[in-house]
Amino acid sequence: MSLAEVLQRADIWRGGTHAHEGHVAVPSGHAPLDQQLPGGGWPLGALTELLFDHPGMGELQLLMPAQARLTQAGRWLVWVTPPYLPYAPALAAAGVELSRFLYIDDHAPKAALWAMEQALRSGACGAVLGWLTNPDPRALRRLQLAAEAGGAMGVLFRPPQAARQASPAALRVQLTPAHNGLTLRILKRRGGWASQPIHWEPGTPRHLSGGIHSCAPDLERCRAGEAEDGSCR
Amino acid sequence: MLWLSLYLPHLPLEVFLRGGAQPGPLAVLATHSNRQTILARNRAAAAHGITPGMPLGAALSLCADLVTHPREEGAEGTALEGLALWAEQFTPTLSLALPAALLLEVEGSLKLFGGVEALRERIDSGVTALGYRARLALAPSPLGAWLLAQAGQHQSVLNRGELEQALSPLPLGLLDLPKEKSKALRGMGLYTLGDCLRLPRDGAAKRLGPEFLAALDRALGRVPDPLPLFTPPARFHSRIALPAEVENAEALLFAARRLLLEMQGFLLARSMGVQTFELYLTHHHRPPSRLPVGLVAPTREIDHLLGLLKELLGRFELPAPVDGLVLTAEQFVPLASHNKALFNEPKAEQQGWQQLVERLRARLGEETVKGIQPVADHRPERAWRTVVPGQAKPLPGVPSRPLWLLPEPELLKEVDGHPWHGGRLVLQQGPERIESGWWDGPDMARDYFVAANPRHGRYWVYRECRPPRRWFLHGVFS
Repeated sequence: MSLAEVLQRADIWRGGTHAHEGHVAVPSGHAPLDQQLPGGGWPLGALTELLFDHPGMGELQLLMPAQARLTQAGRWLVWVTPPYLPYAPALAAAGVELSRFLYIDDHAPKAALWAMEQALRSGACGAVLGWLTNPDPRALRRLQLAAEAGGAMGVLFRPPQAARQASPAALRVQLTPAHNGLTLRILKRRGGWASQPIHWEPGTPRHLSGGIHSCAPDLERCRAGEAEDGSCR
Repeated sequence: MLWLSLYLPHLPLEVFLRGGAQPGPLAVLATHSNRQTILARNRAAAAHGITPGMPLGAALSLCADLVTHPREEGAEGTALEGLALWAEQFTPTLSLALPAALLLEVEGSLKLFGGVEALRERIDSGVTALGYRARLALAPSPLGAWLLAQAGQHQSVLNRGELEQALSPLPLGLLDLPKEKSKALRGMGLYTLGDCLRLPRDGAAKRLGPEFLAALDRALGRVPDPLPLFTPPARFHSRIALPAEVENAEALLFAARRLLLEMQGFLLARSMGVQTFELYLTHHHRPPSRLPVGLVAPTREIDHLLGLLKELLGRFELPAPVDGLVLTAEQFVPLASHNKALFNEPKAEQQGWQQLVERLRARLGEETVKGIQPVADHRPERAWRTVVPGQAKPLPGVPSRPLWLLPEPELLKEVDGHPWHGGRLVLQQGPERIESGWWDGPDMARDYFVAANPRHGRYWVYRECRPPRRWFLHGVFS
């Protein structure tokens, strides 16, 4: 076994890089939430479940700062069977390094589970997000073990009814819509009880801060090919 | 000069055996004028009492399950060439000694591989992993090494001074002499090479003939022995036969591993890796099935390549039983040697993701594992495209968009003149007019808005600028 292989093992912790005691985490970018999370952020090397009703209510925005940070640190981001097409310009605008992003488009449940487990276990990924249909307890257990082995942040998006089933996930957070954002309830975390509700609002996303304005006046220039990147700012 | 001879005494049998893990009784037949006899047989056949020279009928009466093949000298030559491709990792100077030996000039390689014993061991275990049993001998002359290996003398003779003593006990029968000549020699009481060497030189030339004397001189390294050197082909191509037809794709991995090992030696000799190669499954009476393998990054790591083949074969439905495998590779990419990569951590991490991407692509198919990148086009549907994971290039100054884009804009119903999606949509930002596209597709003109519904979902919607001015949902701000 080469040194490089040894260093890739999840059970080898190196001073300097992972010097935190106990929990390794990546900050969520939202201070009140970080205070409630063991290690001060979304846990790495563990499975997190986000439980909510309606896709598109902000669940992905909530994870965006952590995803961006991990890809910028050179680790991979994998989305397993997302419900819609991930949109490159928005991910790039949120700071995700797209050269370290991939998504799996195979919706066979077995394939999705296998792919998520492989990605978590590989040691190359920072975060692996999965939209799986009804993973059973055995599948959850496998994913949690794979996340531990690969040191990755595993995230599952699940319906709120899943809260009734036990889960080996290290962190379970329930999301409900609230004014301009979300209310987060931590149902389960390592070394702590369920928390008080936390209010979360998307920090004015970079892609909206400039406002949206009309492209029409630039159109002629675009057509003439003068705006080289064609983006019509 | 120091030559290593690699002699494969069981090659006629091994070309049929090496494709399977535990072959049943198998024999290779020699044909003399319509009469077939056993030329060689494996251990499983020997256990039934089958011996070389036995007529085929007798052998079959001892063991009805005996698998037989007529000897294939062509396959033996191909196998020897495959072995030569593999052996190039040890030396660039090697020669085929047909029908069943390789000669490697290894003096310059001793230091690199840690001395004679380490090199012998490495070659021996490598050859065993490829499915051959070899006799190895070293001598300062190629013919000397060849003679020692043929005679089963596993010696390493390193000095020319010791060569005469080492060769003396070898029987004359090893030299391929004409029948009358051997008879004549025996009549003179000459049985070993040593017997001939002890004769006075001019008397020996008269009695044995000048060619025979020249051969002795070459064996002893007294005169140079220029050999036709093996010229490696530009591409890798190797074949392995299976001892019996296989119907289960996973059972092919054993043979595939041996082909990959041969390719690895070929790549090591060139400091190269492969990024694309092809595996063919050959069938009886059918064109072969082709399995192309494409990698994200060049490699020559056996376990990784074998893992990929396992996934590919697992997904592949065999159209017919398989009787052999062929591995070919034509394009090679320079690859740093292993000892450089050992202390280079970022490289190791990189290998981690490459292997992940390749494993995913091998199992799920290349079309389902995708990366994405923005494209300079202000029409939302064209502002991105899929790429091979890891090859996305950043694009500066892209106007920002919702995280989710629907594959096709979805027509929204209108209630009291307002667009409706899970409730009445309230327009929060916009309009952003996006037009054009007449030069490469449907002409379009749309006003885009960011809209919210009572459930706090935020959506990217647009209204057509021209009649019928319908509303569409195009994206979801998560």
